[in-house]
Amino acid sequence: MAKTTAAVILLLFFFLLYSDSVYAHRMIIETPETGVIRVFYDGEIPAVRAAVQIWDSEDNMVLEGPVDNKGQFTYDEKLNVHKVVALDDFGHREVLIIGEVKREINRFQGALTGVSILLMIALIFHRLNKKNSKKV
Amino acid sequence: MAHIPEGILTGNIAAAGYVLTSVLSLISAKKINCSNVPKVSLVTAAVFCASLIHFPIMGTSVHFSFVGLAGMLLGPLAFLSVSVAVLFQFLFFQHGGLSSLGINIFNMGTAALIGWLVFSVRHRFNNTRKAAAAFSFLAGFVSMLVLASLLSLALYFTNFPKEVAIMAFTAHIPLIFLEGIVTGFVGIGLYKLGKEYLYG
Repeated sequence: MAKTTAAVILLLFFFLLYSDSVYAHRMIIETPETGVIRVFYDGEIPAVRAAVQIWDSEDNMVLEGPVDNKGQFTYDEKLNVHKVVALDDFGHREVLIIGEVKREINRFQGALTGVSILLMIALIFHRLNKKNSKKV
Repeated sequence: MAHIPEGILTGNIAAAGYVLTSVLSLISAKKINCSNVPKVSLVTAAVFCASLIHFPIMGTSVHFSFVGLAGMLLGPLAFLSVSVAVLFQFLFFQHGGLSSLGINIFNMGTAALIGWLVFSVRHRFNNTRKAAAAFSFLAGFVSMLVLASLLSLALYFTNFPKEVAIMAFTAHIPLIFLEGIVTGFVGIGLYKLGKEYLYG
């Protein structure tokens, strides 16, 4: 028993170390500076297989191309950029409207909230069951 | 990626996902009662957090699902548990999207039910520790295999090129084995701890 438990803990510890952050795998587009687009997955993993499309305010695609090995795509700063779309070979798709502020949820807070809700439900019903079993 | 992102599914597939998920969730919910809510909640919390353990593979990233484990622990209730977990992942981690929520729940919930069915086959053999270990591994392995296949099929039927569907499946192959191994170890641990923790 102790051996199995130790093996499970070691295995999970290895995976958690290897995963290098607590973030998951959503695709994200960033514009660190004018003329540069960065595409990556949560955990700062560059989306090296992504392709970027640039759309103007009249919804015409004005530029398209793959990102480099850092997940970056550069374009002419004079270009009228309204929308950036990133797609990869695995079905990920992300859209960024320039100037639009996206509401980001802190992952750690999100995980804490979700787990707290579920633990609370578990605790409430556990107590309820205990009460009911005492009555019987 | 076990979650299909927002804005890529066609309307009919998204609608079919919601219909199938609603039906299976209702069937699964019939099995719930006050006494099993704590167990369902704890397993849901584990599945909810599983997607935080991710790996960069082949230029993308994939993550654990633990749906096979949910099936082993909850049986038919696993679908309901996974539904809540995937809903929470959408709300708190922005995994997937509103239009793809139905199909994401269906894919992962079905994989969990398959995990339960595979694990229940152990009763046909001597219910020994070795059988529990082997069928725990198979439950994790097959459920992840089903999940990756359903994901690829959904992409294929959404008019993505065949290559995209194949790539999405291929990226999950290492994880299919890893999930089988981890589920196998957890299965042995739970079997030793007490058979009553496992369903059926």
